[in-house]
Amino acid sequence: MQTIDHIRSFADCVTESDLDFRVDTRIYTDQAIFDQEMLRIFEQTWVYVGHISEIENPGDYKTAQIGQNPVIVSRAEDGDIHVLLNECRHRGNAVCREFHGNVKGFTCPYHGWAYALDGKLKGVTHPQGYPENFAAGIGGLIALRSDVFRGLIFATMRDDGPGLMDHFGDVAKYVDLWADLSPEPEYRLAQPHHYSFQGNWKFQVENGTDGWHARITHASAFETAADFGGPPTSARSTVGCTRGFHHGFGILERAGIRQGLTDDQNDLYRAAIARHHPPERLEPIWTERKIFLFPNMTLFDNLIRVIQPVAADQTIVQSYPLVARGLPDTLNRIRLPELHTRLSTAGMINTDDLEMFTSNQTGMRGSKMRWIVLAHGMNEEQKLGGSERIASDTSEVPQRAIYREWARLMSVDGTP
Amino acid sequence: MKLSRTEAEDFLYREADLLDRREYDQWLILFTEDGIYWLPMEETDDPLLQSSILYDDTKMREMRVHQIVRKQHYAQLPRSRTVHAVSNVVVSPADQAAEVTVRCVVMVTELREGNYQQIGLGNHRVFAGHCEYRLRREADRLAIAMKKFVLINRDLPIENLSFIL
Repeated sequence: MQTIDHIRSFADCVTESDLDFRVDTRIYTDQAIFDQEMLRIFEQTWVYVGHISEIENPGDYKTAQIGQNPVIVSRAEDGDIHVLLNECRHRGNAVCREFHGNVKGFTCPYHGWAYALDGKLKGVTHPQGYPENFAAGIGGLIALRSDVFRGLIFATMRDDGPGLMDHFGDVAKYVDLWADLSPEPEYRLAQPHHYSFQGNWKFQVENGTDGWHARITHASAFETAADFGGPPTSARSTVGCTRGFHHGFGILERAGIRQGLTDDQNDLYRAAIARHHPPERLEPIWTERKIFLFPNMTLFDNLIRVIQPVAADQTIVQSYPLVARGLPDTLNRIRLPELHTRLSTAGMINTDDLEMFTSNQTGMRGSKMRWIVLAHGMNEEQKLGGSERIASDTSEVPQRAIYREWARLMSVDGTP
Repeated sequence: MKLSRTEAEDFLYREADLLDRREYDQWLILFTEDGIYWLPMEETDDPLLQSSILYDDTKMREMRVHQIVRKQHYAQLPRSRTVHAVSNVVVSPADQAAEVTVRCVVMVTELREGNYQQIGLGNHRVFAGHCEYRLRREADRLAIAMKKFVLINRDLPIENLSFIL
């Protein structure tokens, strides 16, 4: 383990008092801290690895990462989902080298160790070189604890600790509402956009539930939309709230409009949802939410964003457009290109966010300024039941939730 | 519709020149009313239900250009400089059809001008791919019914793609 002698304790990187909340700038720039994040955060909590629509049939697989660990998410012949370390038990090679596909099993390209879809070792080449049952004793691909909620597959590298639903706690009901935006369960994921930026992964983490920046950073996109007959800028982002929870979860919430749809089309969409739910549930489902699931996933109304840290100053994002089931294809065929226009690699919203992240990284390269401020809206924040806090839509409630959890996990010495 | 390779090349060079001179409003006029500007991610028969980097109809193209040219679009402040090189032009013979298909190779070199002390500015980048145009004759001019630019890095991480390819 690397020692970080200039920081006494990671908990000191986040300071909170009644009306002030600050974060040490080195958590965005210091590669030694980044390395600890991979161990203490990503290897200690539940991390999203895929969606059931990506592996619908037996033999289907997709690959993902938990921190820097490559994993395989597979569906075995019996329909069960397995999350496996993509690392041959012999010499550590990645046994699966594609993003996704359909196979009967995984065979290491180096010395031919072969594994079943559930990770079990099927056999090794030249077994006579080992004592009897030696390879069998080593075992199969390392299987991780996993669980599925509303089509979302999560896994954890910890064998102990709370289950997924206990971990989610108060945020689970909002994820449930999000999933119901697909009138019939569950959403289908389209191929992801892949984009990168020269900045720390936490800039993108903070950004999805940041309701304040939108009015400034995205003024050009909103004004453009208004100039072309969309809703006026003043009608955006004025009704809504931010929510924060334990375990780093947060929400930016606004009155529900599905962007790109006319009033008539919005009515069609609502009617499709209403067919499957009682009337009192319609408004809660219809409300627009961006839900951040710590450490690296944001749910948009028709997009899943997965933030993959590469290095302290390098990040890759996989951004999956969603196709709703039980919605007329005429609506999906309007919503998808509209989503691309806003949030793809070339999106009118997204490109301006990425510009902010490199500008963040540029500013923080030095060491003189030690603290940034995440105190906005502390003076109006209210605690609801459970772990939930709420404030207006420009408040930094979600960002504070992120760094409370960051400090908690970084302070536990979970180094293997 | 008949189209000689020379005539196709002249048209493509004019488009490349408009883009490099950043005459984006003039570029918009090259398209037909129902024209599409498409950066696909996967080849498919239904681009509206699959992922694309962009799939712009007339309104979306006009919005994109409006944001770049007339608004505080930070991702293009400072702006990109580009060099579009077009080659390997092949015109598919289609005497009877209303449109003609032109395939070519396009290599775009791009950099963001301005203060290179800012991360992300001043890096030379290359965007290469195969382009397929469907061109139509309208009155006395050629017009683009479809520009489909298949980037070789379409499904790899791309940094801030905020200019017109």
